[in-house]
Amino acid sequence: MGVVELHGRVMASSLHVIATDGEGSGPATARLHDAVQRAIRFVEHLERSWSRFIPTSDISRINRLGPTGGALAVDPATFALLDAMVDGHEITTGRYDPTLLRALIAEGYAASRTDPTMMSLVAPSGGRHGSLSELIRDPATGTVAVPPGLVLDPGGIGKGLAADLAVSQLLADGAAGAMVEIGGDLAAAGVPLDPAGWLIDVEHPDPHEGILCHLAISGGGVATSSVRSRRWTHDGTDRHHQIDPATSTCSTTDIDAVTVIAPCGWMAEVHATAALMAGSDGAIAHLEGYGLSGIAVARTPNGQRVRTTHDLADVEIALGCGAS
Amino acid sequence: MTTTEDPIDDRATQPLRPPEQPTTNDPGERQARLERLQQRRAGGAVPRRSGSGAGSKVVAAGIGFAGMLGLVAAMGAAGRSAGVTAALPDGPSTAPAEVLVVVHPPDAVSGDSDGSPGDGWRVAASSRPIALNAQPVIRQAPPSESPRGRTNGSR
Repeated sequence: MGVVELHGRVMASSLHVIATDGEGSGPATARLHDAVQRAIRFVEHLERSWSRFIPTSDISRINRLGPTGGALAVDPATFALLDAMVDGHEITTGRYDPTLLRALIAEGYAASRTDPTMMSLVAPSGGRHGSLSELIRDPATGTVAVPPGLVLDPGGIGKGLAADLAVSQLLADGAAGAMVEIGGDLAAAGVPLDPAGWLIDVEHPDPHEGILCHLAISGGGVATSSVRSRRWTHDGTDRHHQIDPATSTCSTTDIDAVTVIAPCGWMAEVHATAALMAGSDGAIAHLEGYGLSGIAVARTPNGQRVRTTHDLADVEIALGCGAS
Repeated sequence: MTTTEDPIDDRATQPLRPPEQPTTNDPGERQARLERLQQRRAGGAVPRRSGSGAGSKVVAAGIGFAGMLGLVAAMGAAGRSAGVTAALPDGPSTAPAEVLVVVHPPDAVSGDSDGSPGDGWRVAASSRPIALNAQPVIRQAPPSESPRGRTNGSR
């Protein structure tokens, strides 16, 4: 079948698109090439709407409202993002919390990693910290009403949701199958390239350790949350981007990384974050309680240990040196 | 902490409407609120999969994000015939379900967030349902030269 594969950068992350047309053994059709280009423009559009580092994005405009709150007209796609945030917060009972941007900035993640001159524009809270439950979305008028003090961080969930929407866009545009990966979060649907399914390499939390395992999935979303990536030094101590909702500081979880396979990318992302916050004692129970599949790499005094959900018990795991 | 004072964008600022009920720790109230959210987003027209498994919850959550972009999500055949509101999870998923996403309406157009016409991206119009897997099947990948995806923690 015809295949279009493309690598690029978007949302300060890697972008990988695979699309198939399911037509014979010839080269990809021009239609498929066009569909991929449209999907990429779509994801770029989502970045302009959702980035906390772009002053004109919907998220930046929301984050600048500050202690007065207010209502804003937003892009149709932003409703999807806000819905996913609210749903993710609800279904994880708060373990995934996109309102911790001020805490993340306080930990030192204020500037874009790709362009340090681009800063998060966040108004002072004025002592108000509006909750997601007070965020009103009205797609009929195209507006959202933002409670006083609420700020949002679309990191993670934005990439997973963008992958979901791009895959849907590709299939609606005629692709027989598509996989879109953005920053390690991916979605796949339709006819895969390999008879076994969509092939996914789960990377070890430590980059020099290579691949943890190789999976084949029928479709859905895959995401990994890790404390071993997006790290920096602030006030002389190491920090990472996983903020614990219970403390509003960098999580002290004993898990290095959790990979989750779910029906779609944004859902995988929120549950990966929630499982990370649950720690090694609770991560797998969290995933199995939701009927999801996943792999957690935890730190122990003797190295690293891997735990998987029951359905992945037979998957070969390759831990690196020093692991148990 | 790096924060920046910035004037409120007055392009579309409107009075704030009364907030919804705050979050509660009461599971019953949380479920009722989730159901109200789902009913509002689905416009009461989208049937939901029955059952108490976790799958019903995550699939129900999918309705929310899909509905707001003009995407209509519905459950698979079993769910469509059930027409029962999804319950909060109290155990493992019991049955796979299919999520059907139809991208519409055909006249939906998206511009950039500043209101400009944008870069030409339009919401795709299609009458063809797009099947997403509510319950992915996962196995060990065989050796293969096929292109593959990678997952990591946002490197």
